[in-house]
Amino acid sequence: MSNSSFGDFNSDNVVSLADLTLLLDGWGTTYSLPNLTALLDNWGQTLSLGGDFMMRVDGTNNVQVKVPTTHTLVGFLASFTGSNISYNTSSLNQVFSGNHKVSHAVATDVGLVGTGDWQTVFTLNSTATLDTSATVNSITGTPECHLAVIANGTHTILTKHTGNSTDFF
Amino acid sequence: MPHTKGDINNDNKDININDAKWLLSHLAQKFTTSSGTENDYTLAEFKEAASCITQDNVFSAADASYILSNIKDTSNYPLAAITAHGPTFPSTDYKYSPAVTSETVSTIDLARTYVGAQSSQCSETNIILLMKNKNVQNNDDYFWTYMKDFNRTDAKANYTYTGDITLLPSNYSNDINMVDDNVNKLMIFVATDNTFSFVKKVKNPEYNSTTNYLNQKNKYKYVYTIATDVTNESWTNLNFVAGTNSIPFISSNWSSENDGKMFLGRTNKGHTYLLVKIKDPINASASILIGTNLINATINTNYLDSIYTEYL
Repeated sequence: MSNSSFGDFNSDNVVSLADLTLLLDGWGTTYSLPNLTALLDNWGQTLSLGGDFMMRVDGTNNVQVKVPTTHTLVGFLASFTGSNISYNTSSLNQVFSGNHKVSHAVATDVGLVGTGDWQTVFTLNSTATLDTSATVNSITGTPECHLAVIANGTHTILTKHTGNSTDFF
Repeated sequence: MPHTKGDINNDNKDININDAKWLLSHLAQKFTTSSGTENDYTLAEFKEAASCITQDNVFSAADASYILSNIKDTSNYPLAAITAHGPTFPSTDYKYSPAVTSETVSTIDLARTYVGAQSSQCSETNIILLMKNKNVQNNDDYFWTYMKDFNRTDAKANYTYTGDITLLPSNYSNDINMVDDNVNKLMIFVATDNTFSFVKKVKNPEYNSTTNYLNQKNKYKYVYTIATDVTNESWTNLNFVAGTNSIPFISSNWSSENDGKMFLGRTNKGHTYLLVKIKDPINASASILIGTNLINATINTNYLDSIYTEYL
């Protein structure tokens, strides 16, 4: 579920006057009656939308990440429980893949700035399930699915996974 | 012996993009990097080299990003969210030649053509046309040919075909960046010297969306393989298998099919051909059979590059 579907159009996890202003500004173009309904239903609420750093495959086989606006995605490892995954990487260059894993990384100045909402990083051609195990890989010491992120304005790249991030999946 | 942090591929050179690539390949368990010790490191040495950010021999995609951030390689691409999907093509229609990679090659259908980029020689420009079928020993095997860059403009014929394949349009060079229906289909080029080519529009492996304008390569390019007149050849079905949704095996009444119709054929010497019936460029009232010999030779399918996983 996205922030906007709760009426939190500016993704600050609070449904407030700022969201109403955005809605009025975009009425008839970006927003319509269902958005107003969502805003009224959740007015004044602080949303609980899962963790800050998350990873999922949505209902249409998009592999998505959620990174807060304070951070930038600079890499990931997506591992799946099956094998021979097939995927579409139309926006991904330098992607690396085994038969059930896809990895990618970029320099910190060309990462994907977080929006606090789900963003698609690549698309599967058929259904596959992320490996949500917290067990660390015996060689890397890191769980099989993880994100590499950097807090904006800093220089330290962090690894986020189900072992150190609440509600990662 | 101590090793340099970040020298993940153990080439004893400066830390560069290849070290980041090696790390990412290992994370993805890509062929030849899965164990971490393929580059003559012990496992402990590999862990030490790969953990660039910390000293605890724990590493992740973050360490690859750390390397890329410090080397400032110009071929480092931005990471962008996908907001729209490209066009899709019928996945079960043999007229299309889908992309194939080392991860998908084992699952391709028999008797269909696929296209891939082979990077065995550290080159991303070797495009191949690939098919799987039974060899003369009746075992599954690969049949393939290289597709070279196509730059000719001396088209002779401009017929309209109603079969599986079309002629390369005379204005093809003007719309090379357009994603259209011809992107994933083979086409035929008939030159003024009456020579023939199978031509395909493919994604250009050298295209880099972040390269500055002056150095930018085209996003797409045309590649070709020569076809020859094989009208008078005799065909057999020696161990040939036509799979589901596959290109049909040529029959004795091929001349009654539409121009542009594709076939597969095998000579009595066991040579496999991709064939097309076209109008005779010398006598437009007649038709001929042209074909390209797909060689049955060893190919290391592990080197089919993942650049072709995207739609073309």
